[in-house]
Amino acid sequence: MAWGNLTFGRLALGETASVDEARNAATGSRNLKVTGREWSDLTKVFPRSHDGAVARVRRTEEDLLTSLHTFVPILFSQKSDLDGFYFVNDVNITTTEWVGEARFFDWELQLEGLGADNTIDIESKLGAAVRQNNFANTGDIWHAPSIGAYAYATGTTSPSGTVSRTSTDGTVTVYRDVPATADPLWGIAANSYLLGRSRVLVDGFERSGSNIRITPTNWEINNGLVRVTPLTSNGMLSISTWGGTAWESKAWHIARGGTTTSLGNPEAATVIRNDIERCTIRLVKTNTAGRTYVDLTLRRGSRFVEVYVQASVANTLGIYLHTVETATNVIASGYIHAAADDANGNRYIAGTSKTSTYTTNQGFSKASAIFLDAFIGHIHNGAAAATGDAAADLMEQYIGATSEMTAVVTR
Amino acid sequence: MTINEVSGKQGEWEVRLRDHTPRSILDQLTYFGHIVVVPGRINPLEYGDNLLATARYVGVFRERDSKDEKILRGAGMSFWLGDEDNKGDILETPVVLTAQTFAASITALLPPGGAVTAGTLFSVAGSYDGTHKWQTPKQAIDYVCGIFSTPSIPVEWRVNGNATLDAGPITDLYRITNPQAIMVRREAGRDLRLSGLPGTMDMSVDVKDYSNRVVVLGEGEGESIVTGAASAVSTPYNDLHGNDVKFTRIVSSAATTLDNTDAVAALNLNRFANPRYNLGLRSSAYEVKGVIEVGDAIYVFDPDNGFVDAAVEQYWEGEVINPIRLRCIELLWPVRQGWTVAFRTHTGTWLDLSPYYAPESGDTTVVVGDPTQTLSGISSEPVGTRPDIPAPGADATTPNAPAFVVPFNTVAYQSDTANDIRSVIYLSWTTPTNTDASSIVDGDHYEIRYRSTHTFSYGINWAVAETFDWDQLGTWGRPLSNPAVVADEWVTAYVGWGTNELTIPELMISAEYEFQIRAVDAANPPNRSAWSASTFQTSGTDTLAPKQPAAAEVAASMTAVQVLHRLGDTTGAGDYTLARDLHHLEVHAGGPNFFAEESTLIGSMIANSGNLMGKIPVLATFQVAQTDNVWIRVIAVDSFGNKSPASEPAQSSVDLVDSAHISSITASQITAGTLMADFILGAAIKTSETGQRVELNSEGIQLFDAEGEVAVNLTADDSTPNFIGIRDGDETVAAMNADGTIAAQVGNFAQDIEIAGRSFISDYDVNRPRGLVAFGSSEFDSAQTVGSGEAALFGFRFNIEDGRMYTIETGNLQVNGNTNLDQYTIRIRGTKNPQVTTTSNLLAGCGVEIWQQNTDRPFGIVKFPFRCDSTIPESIDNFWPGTLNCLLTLQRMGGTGTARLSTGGSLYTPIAVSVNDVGPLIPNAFVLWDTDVPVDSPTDPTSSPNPEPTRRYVDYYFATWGGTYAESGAYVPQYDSEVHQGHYAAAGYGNQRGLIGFDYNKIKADLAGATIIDAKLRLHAFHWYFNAGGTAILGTHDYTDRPGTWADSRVNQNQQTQAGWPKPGTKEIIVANAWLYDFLDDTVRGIAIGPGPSTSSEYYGKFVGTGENRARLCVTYMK
Repeated sequence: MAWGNLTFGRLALGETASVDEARNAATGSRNLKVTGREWSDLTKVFPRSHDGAVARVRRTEEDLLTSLHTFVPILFSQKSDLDGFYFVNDVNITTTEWVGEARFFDWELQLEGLGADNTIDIESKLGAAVRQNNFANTGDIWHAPSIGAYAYATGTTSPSGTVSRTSTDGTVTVYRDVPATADPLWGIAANSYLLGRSRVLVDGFERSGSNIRITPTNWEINNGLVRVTPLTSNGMLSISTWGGTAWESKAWHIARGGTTTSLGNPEAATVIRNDIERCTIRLVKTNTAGRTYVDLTLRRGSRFVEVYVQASVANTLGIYLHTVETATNVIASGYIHAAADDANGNRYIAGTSKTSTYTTNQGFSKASAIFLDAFIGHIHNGAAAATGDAAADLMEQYIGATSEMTAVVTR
Repeated sequence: MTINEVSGKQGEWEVRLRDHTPRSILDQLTYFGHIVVVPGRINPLEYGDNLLATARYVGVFRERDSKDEKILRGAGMSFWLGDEDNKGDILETPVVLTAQTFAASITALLPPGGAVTAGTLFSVAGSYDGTHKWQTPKQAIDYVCGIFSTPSIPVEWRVNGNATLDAGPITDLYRITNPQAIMVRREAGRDLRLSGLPGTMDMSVDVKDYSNRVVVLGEGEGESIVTGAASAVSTPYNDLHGNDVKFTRIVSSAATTLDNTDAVAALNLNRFANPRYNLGLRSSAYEVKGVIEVGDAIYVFDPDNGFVDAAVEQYWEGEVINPIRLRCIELLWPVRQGWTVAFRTHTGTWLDLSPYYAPESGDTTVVVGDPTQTLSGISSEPVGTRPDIPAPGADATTPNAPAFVVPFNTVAYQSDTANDIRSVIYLSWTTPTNTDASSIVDGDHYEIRYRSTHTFSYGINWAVAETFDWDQLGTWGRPLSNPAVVADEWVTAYVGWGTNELTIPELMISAEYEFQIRAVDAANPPNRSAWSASTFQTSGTDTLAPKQPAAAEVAASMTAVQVLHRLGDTTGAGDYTLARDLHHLEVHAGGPNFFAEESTLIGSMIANSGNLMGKIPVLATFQVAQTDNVWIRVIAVDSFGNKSPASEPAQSSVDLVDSAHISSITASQITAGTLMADFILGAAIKTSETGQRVELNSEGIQLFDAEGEVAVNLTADDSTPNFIGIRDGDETVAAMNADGTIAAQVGNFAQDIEIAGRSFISDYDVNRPRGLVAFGSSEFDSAQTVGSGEAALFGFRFNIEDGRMYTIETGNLQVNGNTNLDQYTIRIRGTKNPQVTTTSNLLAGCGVEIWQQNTDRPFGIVKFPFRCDSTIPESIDNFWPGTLNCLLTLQRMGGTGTARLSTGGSLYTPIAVSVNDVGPLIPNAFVLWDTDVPVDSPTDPTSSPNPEPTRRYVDYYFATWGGTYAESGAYVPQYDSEVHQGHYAAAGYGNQRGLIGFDYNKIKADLAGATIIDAKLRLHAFHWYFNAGGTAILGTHDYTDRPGTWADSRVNQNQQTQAGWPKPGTKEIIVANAWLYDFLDDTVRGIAIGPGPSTSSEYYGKFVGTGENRARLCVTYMK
């Protein structure tokens, strides 16, 4: 009897022969109980070179536990009639580790069926306000659903248009000038919901939970368009854009204590948000006086990473390129960008919503500041950027990047 | 200790002091001293009054309570401005303020006695005119702050821990502009300047109080009331027709002068012009006071519930959000272990209560609401209390008084409610007009009131009373009184407009009543007519005869007839059912069919409502000439002389008379056919003097057999043994002896048997192997294999049950092959599917090689153990319950020939398979063994780096000491190691409790690193108050050996109850594994019994501590 595969959001689990299904007499909800066991790779138990497999089990346990009270698409390889979206009501795990030998855990998921993908819509609840700024920039409230989304609706007023962006998962459609009071509604197949997602990778493996164990030097966030990884030398952050076949990178620093004084390598990193539509990693750095937080946020469909720096004691805060590259200074409007295309045909761009000081050909900073908000990204295809990917467009999209919460609603 | 702080109110606090708080401390806790709470531990004596301004909380002590612990309670510091009853340092001398600044106004209104002094008074624009008298400082300062407030800048006050008062704009007093706390549903976390509060949130938004216009009624009365108004600039809500909704709120503020009415109106409009946001948070973060205090603002973000404000931008965990800014209006927080709790006496002496207070462990509750909701006290009067306020749209017309239609109708009736005679009066009246002669178009109701005039028009005449003499009438007062104790007050009835009649039941009969009526219209306030002139009406009198009484009970002597009557009627409703206006019974005597008339009357028996209510029969003796064969009839006569029909006659007989009424008799011998008695007192009652008999005597009950030997002895005499023998002929077939031994032939038990506290079913039966589940056998040879294909030979199936272990085993299977050195495999395959084939799961097999072709050798055996455990996934060694289908197969694995399983031509060695249930599930003992290290004995882990296989242990721990303690906590030495529980008044120790100790060091050592499977406690109760048994109350303690005193702090009592404990009886009950785990950190070292949760005798029982049937812990664990 061969086991099947259960795709639980971003997790791969073994599919067992049985599931328990029930209808709740009080609420009418359709409930599913799924159980199974995940082993470290038994074939590697003898000999004992199986650390990687044990680590997989540990990751899966942690991710599974953090899935509580979220909705996830679930795909069954052997019982595909049960495919659909589910809300996780309860997660139970019993872990056994034979130290140095093997590790496994029995898991049980109590799920509430939200519906098959043809019966539900995804509602993206967007914040109504654009970012307050010093440049009278009214912003472009934009939104990107998953790749493969259909029937995207924003009420009686439609977005002004779309821009298509090629990602590692396929082409992401970004809707621009979404009406301020609209909460877009869209349909999506369960097996497509994850395409174009924001994601966090730790030690090379994608993770699906927040507040998980993470090392400050081996993480990555990407949305298929932009990738951010830490650097231990020659920069603090590597920020890349997907060129179609490879990531095209530039090294950046967060400045503290001087316009080109790097904050340095953080002591700790924390995943504080890890949703399909947005993920955020917080870096923590000790300073002589107090501490500094750097929050890096990447949204689905975004061309840039959003940076929010907080310092416990007022100081000069800023961002700057590790390698100087001639810039066009539009800091009076809140941003700067490369004056010419680089070898990959792209131009870097960085900006902020508040008045700041230009750091020649590198970035900008604010003196005596306790916080700094910024974005860093690429003008993809530089001079030949598509409409919606140009410098001013990206600045407007930063100002118009609103909060987003996603919910499943009955169609 | 719990502290409740409420914005603008005094709040409250409570401290529980441990029982061991020294008297020297308690004596110094004087009322109106101050309690001071500081996070962490310091010595308050060193810091003194400096603590007052810096402490987390300072409160006033004003209440003391005591249960098991001493409880101190009090209020917050604003108490000093006036308490919840508006007592305090009242401003008795008028404080007149003319064009005063805010600071000067507040300073002038501080308590005259100096209980609170001015602290920081922030600048507020404007000036104030007003006079304050007969108010508490709190009321006055509340009012002034309200007057100085504007919708955008509310002004408030607070009293600090050092009894100084700060007042000013809330932005100066509290963290309003930059809150330091945020509530986001299901998110906690912390930014550098913003802390997320974890916990459970209850959110609500409503417009129940929404108003877009406020009108204030200021000082004055009637038409002289001054008013002010304020209207909302815009109204965001529409009615069904698209108009702006209109909600005008009338606010009464009698103390407000004309100068201030508009300000008060604007202030109140600000309170009600927006939706009302309410939010409560139960937070596990007990120390929230570092980031939020009552009065501070807090961010709340929950767009789905409307908690969003586009005008507010805040970064939170890397994202910009738009939370709404609300204020904390209430905090309820526990003071946990490790804080400093100090007391400052009224003389300034500091006491450290930190070692004595009982810390709390609950959640912190944060109540958040609109900032405007904190405004209070400025206009809380109900409008209805204001004099002479004309109601909007008031109707000025007043009805005329209605006129009764006379005379009224009245009649008496027998009331089922009172079981007495009552009257009813029917009234009617005409519809009035208004006093201005207009028709009443807004009539609402009529009010009719009536009362007794204490005038009773009884129909007394000599014809009615002639049957009585004065003694029979029983009174020299009003002879035929119907209950006439009535109140003078009016009784009012209400009749809706449009109905002009009323029936009033249940009135006294023959009594005069006074009636008045008035009309009331629907105006607001209503207009009432004057009461009409009185109309008098006497209620109907009693003309109803009593019901026919039941026949009397009659007995007779030679000279008199005794008549007994139980005052029942003939309806069959029982005794004492005659009407309550009964006055007496006439008794008539005559022949069998006589008519009761004057000539047959032999007398009367007084019988009235007293007899009926008290259920007292009437009894009288009448002298008659002839007493034998006399028939008696009775007639009931009521208070108004109405007579009932005569009862059925009752016959008397002399024979029955003389044996009656013998209250005591003494005789040497009584011979009786049947002797009936409620009880008999006798030295001994025997059915015979010798031989087979039953004997009851002071020792008990004995049954003797024909030989005079005692077969059964049931006695309460401790010196005599009890025993019961059951005989069949002269053979004793069953017996119960004094030592509790029971001998019998066959026992049938409907439910279970407990053996030494263990259930036969759940503890013994389930753990035994059940043996054969299936068996298959063939005396004939199997089919021959074909080529190298796997030949299916025999199929068999069987059911397996959850929680059991099984083996499948073949007998010796002989393989007869036709080619030497061919190799064959005998297999058993199995599946849960209905069809089992040669491709089904391979369960087990064995290989054989043909070493002597065409003979019945070699032999092979296949054996396969497996389990049935539905709690884990199915696998090759685990199947879930159901039918397992199996197949015995044979396949050539090497060579060229064919073979079969042989029975030697049905001569020997049949082909057989058996399936056995070998017992309940036991844990898997396998550990994965590392082959890279030297293999050593798994039972000697010290020489092998491989892990020692986990084993299952069952260990027993017997009690090493026990003891009983009185309710006072003192050890009761006379009970030695017995463990008593519960209240038994005669014992004199109150609600008793007991402790049992074990070798806790051994338990601790054994369980170190172990996984406990279950833990059982066996106890023997040798006494309960009730023969049916009782309820044991179980807990734990941490004493190392038997203490001299039981202290609640060392005992975790009443953790588990066990009802239905037999008397006597041993039970072994499962206790929480946590009790045994707690042995590891020394928080548990033994078992506590009792005290009873009440003084009910259900809990009074005695257990064995040590000795025979001593207490025992049985622990099953893996290690």
